[in-house]
Order: sequence, then C-alpha cells, then structure tokens
Amino acid sequence: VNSIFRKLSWLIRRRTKEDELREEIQFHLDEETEERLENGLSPQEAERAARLDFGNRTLIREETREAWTWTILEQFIQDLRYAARAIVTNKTFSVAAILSLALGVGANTAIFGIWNGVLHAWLPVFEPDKLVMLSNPDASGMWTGRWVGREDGDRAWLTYGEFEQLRDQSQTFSALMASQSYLDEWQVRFEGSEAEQVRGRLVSGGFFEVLGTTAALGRTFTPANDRADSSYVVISHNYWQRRFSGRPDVIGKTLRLRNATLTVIGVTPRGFIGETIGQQPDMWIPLRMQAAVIPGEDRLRDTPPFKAVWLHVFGRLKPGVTKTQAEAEANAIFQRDLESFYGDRLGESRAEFLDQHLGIHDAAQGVSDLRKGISDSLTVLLVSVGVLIFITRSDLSSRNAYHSSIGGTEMMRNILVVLLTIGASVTVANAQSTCAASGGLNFICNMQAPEDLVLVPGTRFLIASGMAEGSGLHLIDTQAKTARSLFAGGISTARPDATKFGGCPIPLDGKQAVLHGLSLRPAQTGRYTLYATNHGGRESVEVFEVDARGAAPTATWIGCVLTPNKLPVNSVAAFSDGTLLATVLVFPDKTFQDVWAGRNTGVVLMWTPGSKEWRTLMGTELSGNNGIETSADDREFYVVSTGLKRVVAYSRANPSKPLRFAQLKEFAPDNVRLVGDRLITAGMIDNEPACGGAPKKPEDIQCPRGWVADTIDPKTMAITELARGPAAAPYTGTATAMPVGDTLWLSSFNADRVAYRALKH
Amino acid sequence: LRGPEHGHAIAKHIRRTSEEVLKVETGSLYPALHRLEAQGWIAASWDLSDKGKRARYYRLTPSGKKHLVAQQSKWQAFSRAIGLILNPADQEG
Repeated sequence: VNSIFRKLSWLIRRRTKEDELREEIQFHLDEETEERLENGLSPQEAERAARLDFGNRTLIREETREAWTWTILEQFIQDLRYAARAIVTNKTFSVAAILSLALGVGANTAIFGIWNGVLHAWLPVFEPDKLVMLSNPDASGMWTGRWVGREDGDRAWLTYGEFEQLRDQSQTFSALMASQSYLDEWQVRFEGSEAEQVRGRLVSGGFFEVLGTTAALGRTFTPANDRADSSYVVISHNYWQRRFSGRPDVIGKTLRLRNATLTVIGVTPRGFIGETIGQQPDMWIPLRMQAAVIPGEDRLRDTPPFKAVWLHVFGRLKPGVTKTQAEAEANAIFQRDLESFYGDRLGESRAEFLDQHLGIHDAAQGVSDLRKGISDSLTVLLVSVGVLIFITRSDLSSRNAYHSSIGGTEMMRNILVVLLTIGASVTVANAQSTCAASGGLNFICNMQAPEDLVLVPGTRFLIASGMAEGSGLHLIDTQAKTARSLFAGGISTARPDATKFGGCPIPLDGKQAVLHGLSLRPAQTGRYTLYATNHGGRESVEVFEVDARGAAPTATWIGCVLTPNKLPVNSVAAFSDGTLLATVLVFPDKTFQDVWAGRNTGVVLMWTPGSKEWRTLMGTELSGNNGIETSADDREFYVVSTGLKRVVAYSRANPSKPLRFAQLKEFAPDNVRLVGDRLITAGMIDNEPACGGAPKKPEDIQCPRGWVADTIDPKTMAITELARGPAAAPYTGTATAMPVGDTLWLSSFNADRVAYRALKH
Repeated sequence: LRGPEHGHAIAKHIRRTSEEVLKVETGSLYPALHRLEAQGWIAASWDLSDKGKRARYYRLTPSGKKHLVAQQSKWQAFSRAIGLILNPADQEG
C-alpha cells in the first residue's frame, strides 16, 4: 500500500518532479564544472567536459522518468484516447480490428476459465467457506526437521503429535483433521490381481467428517480410526468406476500395500477429491497405518530434537467462535507442546525454537499446491495468448500507419488490455451460464428437481427432495446458502426397521430413488421421521430417520410402505401416531386435461402402522389431489386441489365430505405445509402470457411461469398473499414456499435449483 | 560514504573508492537512484549543500539496509564462486 501511495503522489506531483529532476541534473553538472575549473580548465572547456562525462541528458531523463512506473498507466490512458479517435476516423479499419480481436478473445476465454478455476475454485466439499486450515501451505518450508523462527511466517505443516494435541485439547474447533501434505504414489495389489500404481493420501479419522462427506457406498473413517489399528482404505468414486466398473462388491476386498493389508470399506461420492484442488487421489488410508505404508520411519512420534513436519491440518470452528479466538487457543496449545517437547535441550537457541506460530487461514480453496505449480505455466499460456492478439493488433495498427514503432511497453499495454477484456467477458459469461440471480430470486444450483422442502425444526437446515433419478435428498444450509447431499443411497445410510415397516422388501437404492413429496415429524429428542413419496424402482413412501443432534442433520433410511397397485402417490403427510395420508393426483384412467377441466382425478389414501393395506378415503376425490398436510391437533387434514385451485379441509374422523375450503385465484397451488398456525401453499401462475396462457398440454407446465405463495388460516380459510414474483428462467416449477427467518425459499419440480429471496420485497 | 549525500557526491565516491575502475557515464547514476527510490530502498529530500546550493540528498531506508545486506551476501557468494572457478588452486590452499 505504501508504494501505491508513493507512486500516486508522484503522479500528482508530476510537473514538480520534472522540474526537480532538471534541477538535480543541473546541480550535478554545476558541481562537475566547478571541479574542473579548479583543475585549471576554461569555463567553456569545463562545462563541455562535465556534459560529456555526464552522458545524454535527454536519454537519462527519459530513463529516470520510466523509474516512476506510472508511465505505463499514463500511456494506457493516452492509448484509450488514441483508440477512441481512431475508431471515429476510420470505421472500416475499426470494424476489422474489433472483429479479429473479438475472435481471438473469444477463442481464448476457455483458457482463462481454466486459469480462473485453478486460482479461484472452491473445494467441492460441504460449506467450504466454513473450512479453516492451521497449516500454511503457501509458505515454503522443509517437510521434515525443524522450523526456526517466526520471521519465516506461520508454520507450514504440522507433526502428528501437534495435531493430536490440538485435536484433543482444543475447545474452539468442532472437528479437526490431518492429511498427508503431498499426494503419494503407491504400488498396490488387490487379491487375485496384478500390481498397479495408485495415488493416495494418509489421513486422520476425522478427514471425511471435517470435509462434510459421507460415503456413497459403505462407510468412511471415523475419529476412532486414529486410536485403534485400522487396516482400512476408502476409495474414490472415480477409481471405483475406473477399476471396478462401479461394482458394489468392492466393499470388503483386500489389497496389499508394502507391509499393509487393507480392506476397502467405502467409496466417496462422485466429485469428491479431498482437500487439494487439482489432485485426484484414488484412495485414502488412516494415518495410523503410516509405519506399514511408509516403512522404516516413524512419522507419528517425534524424537527430540527432530519433528516430522508433514501434515496439513484442517478444521471447522464451533459456531460463534472467531478465527482470532481459535488462533489464540491453538497457539497456546502449540506453545505448551513445543516447550514440553524441547525441554531444556536447546540451550542458547531455545528462544528461537519456541518462536513458532500457527496461523488460521480460510480454506475454502483448499490446499494450493497446484495453484503454486500451475499458475505460472497458465499465466505464461495466458500471456502467449495475449501476445498472439498483440500481433494481430500491431499488424493492424502498423497498417493503419499511426504507430511507427512498437516497443516493449506497448506490448505490456496490449497484454494488459487483453487480460482486462478477457477477465470482463468471462465474468459476464459466468454470470449468464451459472447460478446467478434472476427475476428477483437467488439460487442454489446442482440439485435435480428439488420438488419439496421441509424445515428441520430448531435448525437452519432445510431438506429438499430430488424428483429425478438418483437426486436423493439434499440438505440446504439456509444461512450459508449452500447445499449438499443428505441421502444418496449406500449401505451405511440404511438401518431397516422391520417392526414398523415389515412390508418393505429391500432398502431404497439411492441411484434409482425419485423422491417427491416430503413430511417431517418429530420422533425422539432431536430426531425426526422423514416421509418421502418415491417413484424410483418402486412406487412407495420411503421413511428416513433424521438426526438433528449434531452440527448438521444426517439421514438414515429406515423403511418404506409400498403403495397399492403401484399407484404413484404425490404427497404424503403423517399424523403423530404414524398414520400416513398420501394423495393420488391423477388415476391412470384420467388425464391432466381432466385436472384443468376441474373434473375429479384423484383421491387421498390412508395407511395405519402395522397394516398391510392402504385405505381409500371415500369423499376425498378432488380435481388433481396434490399437496397434503395434517393439523397440529391431528383432527383435520388439508388437501390441495390443483384443478379447482383450492385447499380443502377434511375431518380425520369423518372425511366423507369437505369441511371448508380456501379458493385461490391466479395460481395452481401445488404443495401445502403448516408453518406455525398457518398453511402455506405455492404454485405457478396459470395465465402466463409468455407461456401462451393457462396450460393445456402436460408439457405446458414446463414453461417458466410467475409464482405466488399464499398463507391460509386453517380455521377460517382466509387467504393472505405472502409473496409473488415473475418468471425467473432457468428457475421454474414452483411447488413449495417455505419461509425461514426473513428469507423465503422456493422449491422446483423440474429445475436444477432451489430459489430464495427476502420474504419482504 | 556516511549519511545522506547528493548524486554528485555519490558518483565521486564510487569513482574514487573503486580506484577509478567504475567510471562509466556519470549520468546513468540518476535513473538508478530514482529506481531505488521507487522501490523504497532509498529516500530523498532537498537540502542545502555545503556550498549553500539546493541539492537532492539521498539516504538509505531501513528496508534498503536490509536489502543491501541480503544482496551483499549474495554477491559475496557469487564472487567467491567466480574466484573458485578462475583460481581453484588459491582457494584450496
């Protein structure tokens, strides 16, 4: 900053500086002349000799001015002025120049994309912005031996012992993990196979927990793996596909690696790479196995005075803890450890050895080994692209004959212009193609068809369904505005409850699941039962246990209830005794045209725990039975009729005819949910001019329409508008509106995203 | 050379202490001085010379001093290396 101010002040004082330089040189010449006069030369001779000795004054002044660096900026501004003049005076030339430049820039935008991705990408893990690291991978340092003196900056890597002390004593981190700071190459041999080369890392038991990753198949390590011998290996999704063609029987296979025999216990989710961007490990092994995997060394214990400094340490702060607090605590623990480690062994250099410091750094971008390595070469690539475009430009400009000579500084300027242009165009392109806000809505993307939303009570988390094959369940952090997979199938996420759901044949296959409507009901303290209608692999209501006692909720599949005659059910709602209600939207012999015509097409089904069959609740036939909800006192239930645009109240004791209904007007209500003492329903505007008016064919509901969310008093059926918004493509398919604090969340039955915005607009 | 000095005195100092070996164009000293100033390694201010004329005086900044020490040790290592190459016998003895 200092130097910027210095340069800025020079720019402002430019005129004075010119004068000063002239004066300074004149002073020099005067002194020289005087000295020569004293040696007996004539005044003319003396002055001439002084000048000769001094050299070319103009050139020297020019060179000195260049030391004032801001010359470049000035020339750039002059260049812009020149360009403006040139464009006006020579239109044909300008069009040709702009076109060829645009072509060059466009073709090379991709390179910038890679460059940008490598330098700025976030780790593909849960809530990367909440991740911190105690290691300092951007500092250079030795990976074994000692680290002396704080002048070198924060400690680069940690020893296993130091990690253990922090893990066991720290009160400011909710979890800490350590990982081998470099990607290792190993030769492994699976039972009955040839030896092969793989890449992998030794990691602590908390590795996956800290990164917020659960296994796609099998299980991952737990902190317990740091304490007991753990001859396990977790393999990457990529390696699993490549080496085992995604076969589930990979779990339990054993492999031999140097002195270790390891059993495969899990597969990470697709896209998980760990903590280092640009590296794709094939497998992870517990640090506890170090002696067998890296034989002949004990890197888990430090023998004074040498420390094996080789680990990255990552963690997540407890809620409300600041980085400063955590850093203070970590350093207190670290100092105690250093003092007891070195004791009084060091004599005079003791102070130097104890002068070490841990820094807490944001780790959203993970470790940057690749950044360090590749950013130079990518920058070179970018610059060469710049040079190419520069050649185009200089060719054009020499033809234009305005510029007769092109120097080094002009080349720099051209590259600068190119970089700025590329940067700007990439920013614009990204904003268009990705998850940028639109139509007053912000989005969280990469969730396929999140049809329904439920709030986990007392937390900031929403659960979204995924009504596309393999989309599973999603956990949305409404504060961080991030989402991750909550259920994607896998052995570790199933714990069948045969007593309650004896009729359920096999656990839900996460790859097939198509989860639609949701209902969340309290179970034991801090735990909930989540019901989800499913069309994938079977027509059913799938049941999960949601455990909200930890930092973030987890979901375990516990059972299912198959629907009668493989009827697809749309929405589900549970009474507190576990009795389920589910809606049939359109019976197979009816069509959507019937719904829009207001003819009855569906019904409500009821299942009571322990029974094998569903019961049809006669009298609940409506036009497009859609969302469903139960009352807080279990005495009533509310059914959405999409065709009649109504929310209809029924008595549980006698559902043979409706009690009352709320008549909505502009929009076709989809799901309904009780929030506090009000029902909230939402849907898309029927008569959307951009979609050619009201839907007539089933594909018409795919068209992006405006949306409305209303609250309804279930006692009086009085309607109050909660929010509305225009079509906001690519978001569409509004099905559920869910207020969380002062934010309104909107689901979608067909987009790849959920939407949110301020509740009050 | 101790304390602040103006360009001319610096040029003279270099010429004299290098036993006249480094006597190139005196003028090239000024771009160099200004570059050092831009780096923040030296600072300049206007003062009266001992003959009562306004002159621009340069002095070493703390960061300049640090840089000098670093460069000096690099240079010594380098010149020793050159010495070893040119005169291996001398150094081994």
